[in-house]
Amino acid sequence: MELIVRGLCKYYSGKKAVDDVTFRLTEGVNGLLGANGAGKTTLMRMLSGVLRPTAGTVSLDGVDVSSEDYRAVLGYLPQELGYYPDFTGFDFLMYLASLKGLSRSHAKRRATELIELTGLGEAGRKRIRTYSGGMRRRLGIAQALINDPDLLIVDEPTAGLDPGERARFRDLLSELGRHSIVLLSTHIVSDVEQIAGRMLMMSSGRVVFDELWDKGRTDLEELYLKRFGGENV
Amino acid sequence: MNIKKELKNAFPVPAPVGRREFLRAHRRRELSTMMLVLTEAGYVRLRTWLSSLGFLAVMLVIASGGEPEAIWVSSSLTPALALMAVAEWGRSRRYGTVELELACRTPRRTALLARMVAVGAAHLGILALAAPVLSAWGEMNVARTGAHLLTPYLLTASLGLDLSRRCRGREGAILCSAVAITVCALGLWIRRAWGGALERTKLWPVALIVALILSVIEVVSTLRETEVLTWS
Repeated sequence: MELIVRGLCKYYSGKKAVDDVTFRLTEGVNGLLGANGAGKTTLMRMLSGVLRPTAGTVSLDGVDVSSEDYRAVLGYLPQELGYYPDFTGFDFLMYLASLKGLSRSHAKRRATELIELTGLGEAGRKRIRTYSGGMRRRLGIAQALINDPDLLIVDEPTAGLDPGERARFRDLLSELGRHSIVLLSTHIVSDVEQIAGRMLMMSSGRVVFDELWDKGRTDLEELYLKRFGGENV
Repeated sequence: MNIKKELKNAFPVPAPVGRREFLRAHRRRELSTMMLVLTEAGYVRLRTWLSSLGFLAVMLVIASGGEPEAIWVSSSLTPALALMAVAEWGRSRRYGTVELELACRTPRRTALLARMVAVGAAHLGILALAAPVLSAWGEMNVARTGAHLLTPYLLTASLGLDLSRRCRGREGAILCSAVAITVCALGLWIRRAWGGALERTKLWPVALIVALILSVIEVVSTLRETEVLTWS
């Protein structure tokens, strides 16, 4: 599997949010680091097909980002998860599963599995309005996985999770990366340092670092600060 | 030695090649369009359904009074019904789930259309049930009664859709409510000002056609806009 991004640009009234980004990703966990305003979220939105690029192309094994076949294998967790407060966690997963084209029986099986996998357990039957920030994040992770995606795009997935949950989530992503392309955008260096096989860094809308990463290395923060010392990760 | 075992040892099963690619190529949407509409109907808030049924009950009670004003009072209620529909259609925007829905396999346009069909069809059904009853107790025929009920509904729905595209959040909700109240008041005022004269003219089919055209325009515009995430 190969995700190919060529010459991707997004301009907002003259401002270049993403500027001529080109890269290729294969199976595994790929980390995306960058300061606030570097263009990470805009890039993730374009890779998820929710934002139309000003220029450039995105394809997964030749399938264009705008096609239904691309979205069929996509799992996406946006930075800010919208939810219907009156729905239970389980209902929310069932609802998104229906939009992802899953049959009711298939969706029910997956939703039950994922509620357990993300540690929501009994809370899955409670209304989302009663959830804590961490529980909502876990629900977001569950919905991204409901269609067993080949391409998983997660934007700041561990925000609001406690250290134990973060470690559990890292293991989960690592496992998923064995047979899927995982793109993980974060500002927490430790989230990607030990699990990413490839590291990308963005600054001012451009990818300024794109290299294979040795999971044993522990100098990511140092490397980042050396390159972008003045910016906040 | 068991021949089966011998063969198994002699010819080991090769590792699957391109299994994932094959499965991906054959992943089909498991949900038909009809099932999608029913699923969307299932996720419409319970209070929307209950309130809609409540409106039907109120209209029937009003009709049973046999007052000549019953049709006008009933038609002044339909903007509130339309307001509920607009609120359901704009639910994704209100709760910020647009981004998630856009990343789903089913195009958001299809999902929104399914939701519109689910709620719109139910409301049309309610008006279709109320029209013959109001007609039987009143002075107008069924077609004219239907037009009197449908016109304010469509007018409110189309203006509400337009406003909810332009204004978000609380501001949008307030403006949509204001439109519903205005249409409701307008209906009652028209009755009081020109009631008898209006009933003798053939203006009502014209009003219905205008409201229908406006609704089609607004539905198409709303569906068009769902293709792109509007971002600051």
